[in-house]
Amino acid sequence: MIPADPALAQWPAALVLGPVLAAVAAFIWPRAGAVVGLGASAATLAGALALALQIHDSGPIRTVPGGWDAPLGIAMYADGLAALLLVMTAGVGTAVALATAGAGPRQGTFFWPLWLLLLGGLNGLYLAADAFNLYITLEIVGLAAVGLTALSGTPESVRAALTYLLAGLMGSLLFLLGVALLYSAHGRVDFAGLATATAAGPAVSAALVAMLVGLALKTAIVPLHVWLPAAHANATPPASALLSALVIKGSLYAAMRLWLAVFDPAAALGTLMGLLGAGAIVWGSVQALRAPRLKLVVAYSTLAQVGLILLAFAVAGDDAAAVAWRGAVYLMLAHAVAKAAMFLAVGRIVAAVGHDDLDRLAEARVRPGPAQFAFALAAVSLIGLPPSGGFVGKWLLLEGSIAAGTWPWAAVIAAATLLSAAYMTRVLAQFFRTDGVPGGEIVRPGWTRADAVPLALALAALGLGIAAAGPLALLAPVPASGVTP
Amino acid sequence: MIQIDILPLAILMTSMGIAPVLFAIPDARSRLRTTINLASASAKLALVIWLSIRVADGAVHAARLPVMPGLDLVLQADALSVLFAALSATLWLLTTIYAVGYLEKEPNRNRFFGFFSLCVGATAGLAMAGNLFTFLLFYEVLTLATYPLVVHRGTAAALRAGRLYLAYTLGGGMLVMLGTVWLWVLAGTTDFVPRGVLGGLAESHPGELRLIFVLLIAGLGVKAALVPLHAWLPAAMVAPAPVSALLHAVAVVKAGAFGIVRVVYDVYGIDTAADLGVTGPLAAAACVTIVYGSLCALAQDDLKRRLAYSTVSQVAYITLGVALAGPVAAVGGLAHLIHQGLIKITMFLCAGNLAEARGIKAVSEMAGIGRTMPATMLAFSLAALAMIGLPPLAGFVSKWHLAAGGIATDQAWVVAVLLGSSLLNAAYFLPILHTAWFREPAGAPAAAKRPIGWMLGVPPAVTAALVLAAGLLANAPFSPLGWTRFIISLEYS
Amino acid sequence: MPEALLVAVPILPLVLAAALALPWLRGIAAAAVPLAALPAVAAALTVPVPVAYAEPWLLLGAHAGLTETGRVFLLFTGVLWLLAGFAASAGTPADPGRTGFLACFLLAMSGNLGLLVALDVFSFYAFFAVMSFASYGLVIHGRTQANIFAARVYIAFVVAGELALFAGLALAAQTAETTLLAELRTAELSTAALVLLILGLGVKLGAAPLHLWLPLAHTAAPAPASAVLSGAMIKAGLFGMLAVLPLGLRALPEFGMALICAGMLSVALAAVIGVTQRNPKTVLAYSSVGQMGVVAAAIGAGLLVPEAWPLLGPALVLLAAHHALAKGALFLGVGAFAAAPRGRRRSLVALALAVPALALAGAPWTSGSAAKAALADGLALVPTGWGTALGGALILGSLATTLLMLRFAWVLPAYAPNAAPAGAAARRTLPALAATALSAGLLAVWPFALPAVPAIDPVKAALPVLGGLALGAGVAGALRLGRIRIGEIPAAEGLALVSRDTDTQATRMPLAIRGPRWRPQRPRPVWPRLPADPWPLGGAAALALLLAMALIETARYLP
Repeated sequence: MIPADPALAQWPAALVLGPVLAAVAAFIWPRAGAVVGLGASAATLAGALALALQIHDSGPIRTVPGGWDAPLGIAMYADGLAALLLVMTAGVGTAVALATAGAGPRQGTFFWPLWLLLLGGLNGLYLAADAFNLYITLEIVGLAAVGLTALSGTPESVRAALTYLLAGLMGSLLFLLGVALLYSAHGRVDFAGLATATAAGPAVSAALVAMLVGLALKTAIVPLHVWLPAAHANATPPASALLSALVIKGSLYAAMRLWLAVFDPAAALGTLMGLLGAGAIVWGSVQALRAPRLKLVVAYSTLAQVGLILLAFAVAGDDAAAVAWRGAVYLMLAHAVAKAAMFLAVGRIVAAVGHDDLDRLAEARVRPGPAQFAFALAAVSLIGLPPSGGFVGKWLLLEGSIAAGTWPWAAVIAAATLLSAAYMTRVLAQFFRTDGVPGGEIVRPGWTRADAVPLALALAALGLGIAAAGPLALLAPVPASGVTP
Repeated sequence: MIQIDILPLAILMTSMGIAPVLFAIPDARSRLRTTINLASASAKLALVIWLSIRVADGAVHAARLPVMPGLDLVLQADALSVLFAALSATLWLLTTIYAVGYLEKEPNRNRFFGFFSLCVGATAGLAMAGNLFTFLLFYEVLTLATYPLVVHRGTAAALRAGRLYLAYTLGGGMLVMLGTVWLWVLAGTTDFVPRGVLGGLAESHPGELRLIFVLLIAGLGVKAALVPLHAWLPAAMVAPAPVSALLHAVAVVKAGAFGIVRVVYDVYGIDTAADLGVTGPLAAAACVTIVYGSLCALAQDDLKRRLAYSTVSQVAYITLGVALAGPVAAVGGLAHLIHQGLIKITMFLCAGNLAEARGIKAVSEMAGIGRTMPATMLAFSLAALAMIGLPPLAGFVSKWHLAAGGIATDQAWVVAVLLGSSLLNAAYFLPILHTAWFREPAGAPAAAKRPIGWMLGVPPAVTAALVLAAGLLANAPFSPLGWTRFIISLEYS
Repeated sequence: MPEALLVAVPILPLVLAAALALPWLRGIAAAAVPLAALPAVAAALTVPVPVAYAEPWLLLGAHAGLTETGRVFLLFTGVLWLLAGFAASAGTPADPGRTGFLACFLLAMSGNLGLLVALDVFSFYAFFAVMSFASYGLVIHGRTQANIFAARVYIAFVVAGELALFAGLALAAQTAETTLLAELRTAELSTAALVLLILGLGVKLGAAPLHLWLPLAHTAAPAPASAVLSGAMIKAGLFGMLAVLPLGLRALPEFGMALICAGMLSVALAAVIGVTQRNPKTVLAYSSVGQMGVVAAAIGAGLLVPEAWPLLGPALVLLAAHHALAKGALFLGVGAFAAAPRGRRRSLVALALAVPALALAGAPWTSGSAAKAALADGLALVPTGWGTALGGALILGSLATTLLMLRFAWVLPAYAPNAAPAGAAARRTLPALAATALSAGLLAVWPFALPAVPAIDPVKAALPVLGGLALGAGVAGALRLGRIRIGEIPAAEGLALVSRDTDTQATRMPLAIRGPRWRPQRPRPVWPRLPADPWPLGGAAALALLLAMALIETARYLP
């Protein structure tokens, strides 16, 4: 539907163009980077919130910024799902930006342009109403992400960034192939048209496969994850936070969109996705259990969390699937907030202790209490214990799989919880251990302003569990009434 | 829709709300912390008393917050919740006083007391939970808030105990969650309603309901320390004495037992549960736990470990009382929820005093301690005799009702189990009393490490007095027994 | 007023015991111990019977009061506690264990007196438990190996008895749907309930085969404690049976025969083992076993032939009172004898002790003979077979008692307790003499209706005693001539054979099952260092995934 008020119609476009222009500005005036970045992020957050409110009141919005409509033109489509992710991205991003600005200029001059570019790209991705836009925005996001990875400039991070670039390009190519196949089959690439278009032929199937694998590469779904641990573990804390909190979600969202709105995949394909998810949970958890470094543990936990979200693809049956999808989206939301909090907290801890060698953590004389507390709270949400967003998401996922009668997935979810608890406890135990300190008094630095952001994010992750009603109301129609207009 | 009721929220907040404040107070400002602690504990006790009066008058208190479609966070007060809330509120006040005295000069007091009040807040939430969903929420919060207390000392042993504790309790929590979700999918509600919410499902889906029952009970049985899910409890005795009191009397094991009561009475309904044939196995499990726990306690020389195993055995009485599916036995079981709490907290506080004042940790070191610490040992002896079930002490009242209930429901074998258990209780408690009172101290008496101040001395004395009062005045109107009868009259009306 | 008096009966000793715990009151409390039993005596003499008061808020609904039987028991029990209290307070304050001993003494007193004024299951059981467990402190007082062994045996029996009593009362109260002892007595109780009740009370009564604790405990305890243990407390078992068993109402033949057999066994055992003892207190203890055997047999007869009960009941009560005073006098006397300095005083005590000894033996014109006669009167109603057996048992009983008293007189002079009670001999002697006097004049001062005793032919009454004397003399002479020495059969026969070494950790229990000790720290598992996700593996995986998905999708187009 086209909203009556044309001014309102330009909102989505503003959410995309605003950050991009800001990125340019921040690139031209590096001095003003922090100011511009913070301002733009905050403004985007405000806009996203407003949009979400409006969608909550009056349903999805579809706009045609340039005036060129489908099949070839650029159209934007914003429903509850998109709005939720927009708010998530802007919110988490603003928080990370605050932390970065607080940490001073040592993040390098390129952080702000890259972040703003990423923000614009992600917003475009969520609002994209056709496959080609999806591809474009994925590219933008991918490039910005590679830039962020390399930001710290250490050899490891550069090597990791190159690997990431390679994987990303491979994924994009596959995705582009898929888009081309779709166009050849139907002569159009907009979701609405594709959904209504009949004749699912081999070409469409090939497109689906190509796109899924491409996105799997970008989302680092085990076994296509090889680039992720290095990339996330070697970037600067804010970069890591953005990468694992937001970037992953972009491609995951794309896959979800296509899966729900465009294709009607074979049930077996869903089962395969579920199996991939289970594999990801096991592999990620095992690696997290043996990772020697704190940041690696956090990075590997991302793999397991993504695997958990993938289980939603495997849940069949309309109503059950609807619940499961809501759970998956809520898990994305909770993971974004909690993981950002966790990476920032780890940053604080490493800064205080001086290393992130897990086994030597118990010997540290300095115990940054607030940061450790933030880490613990974030861990609670990631494990999925109440009261936290992770719990709500896990509950819905569980409810969906049980309602669908697919017990194996319920069992996998339970196992995922216990595994994540295991590797998180491995870290927490190091925080509490005090008899390993070689002599000397234990130093417990008090609060500093820099602890505020991770703590606030962690508390927000908990709050998502208590105040779940609002976001879930936005998601209510997924997917029953379809994400297509 | 959101529904606000000040009283339950206030009771929750008196302990949960102050946690952040306590975290923020640096160790140096102990006077301020103590003031806040005691003030809120007293306030909570007063509020709970008020609430109990209101409930006795038949007033309905409920606060709800929608979380997921159809699933609300509900805090509401019925007679059963008041029973548990009153226990935890009373013992929290005493334990806080004790902990303040016990932990002075130790590091990390702000962390300790912060999580301590979180625990008790979670317990209040459990007590007032209006549906299984809310219960699950606070059940997990309790697990999380207790872990830092178990590992408080930060030693390798403490962390091993903590790991074991988390492994067991989180596993149990997961089982409860599975059961709850399944029940929610099946029945479409998780509310606590006297005599159950299942309606006709018992006929249509008996098999699934049995499975759900097993999931829930197994999950709750972890905290209730039902054999074979009990191993975490004896291990957790490395924690400081106030924490042991919290684990064994105020919060954790009680949360499990209370959950079992809720599931059997207010989710399934005692009649439905009996029809499904799940109460018999539950009773059997309880009996096995009662006997096995006592047998293990016999072998322990470490005082706290012996007490821990005795808890394993004693808490199963509550489960047994519920599983016997009869009003009289139920009265006994529920009354034991209170009585065991009073008795066991007395014992752990006394054990803590022995360790603090004389460094005594093992039974074999207690020779002649009755001479040097008569008051403490007097309280301990009173509690021990009560645990054996001697009149006119609290334990006798519970055991009498359990036995009578067993006979009344034609399950006289219960009497045999009770006799065996009492025999074993005597076998592992009387030697302690003998050693403490009638054996000459071997060699020089252990040197006094520190004097027992009033903060360490008064709480066990008070609880011991309560143990005596609960038995001596069992028939008085507001005694635990009286209140329990009130609850059961509602359940069986 | 009567109510207050009845309440004071158990409360005053309790209050004094509590006062002992407070250092600044200790002296006064210790001094007041002899007076602790005064309310009991006063109540027994003044309170009109039957009387009952209900305290519904107490326990699970308590009832206090006094029955005809209870009043008699209260009187002689109270008197005995009074005298024993006087003797018990004789110890010097220097004695380290004295406060503890007095506290246990007062607690046991409170329990023993309280159970006599209890009319309901709960308070009866409560006082019974207080009495039994507090007596542990009396038995172990000396802290010698013998004390500790005796105390352990005692507590084992007590716990078993308490449990049996608990179960029995629970079953009875449930089936009878009442908690009043009087109503239990009239109700139809299940066999299990009766068995448990009889076992629980029988342990206290100390009739064979439940007597094993008795000789040890009565020997080990200090003289005043032995006096109340043997004089007052074992009567609590009798009182309980009179209170709950349907005596005179219903016939329970099986139980009756069982009790009769137990009684006869007790008499025989007491005689055979008792006469070999070298410790006068042990000898007295065995005579108690014998006497309680007679009591058990009489109760058995009552269960067998309800018609005989109207005669047996009063006779039993009289027997209980007589035995309480006589045995109390003897035990107190032993204490006084040991405390008294060698010389005239000592021989005086010894001579005085002859009186209760003769009374126990049932010599003519003594309370003993009266009680036995009354008993025989009742037993006569028992049909032949059991009746003759019982008559024989009675005669054998007095014969055995005579022998035991002879043995007592024989071993008394040589008696020297390992820990001779120091000082205050007078305070030990006076109560002994008082008890002696009371036991001698029991029939004269008996304030209640005496059972209708037929005229006793002194000669007939004297026969068993004389026979006993003759037999004793004969056996002794034969042994002397034949140069035969009889070894002492260890007290508590079978039990004594099991290791006497009590040098065991209090924590080492007969039964011990290793709790699952939780395992010591294992070395942290060393994971095989997998290669950290090599890149080619990723590419291969991507291709594999492509293939898999493609296969699945193409599978849809296969016909």
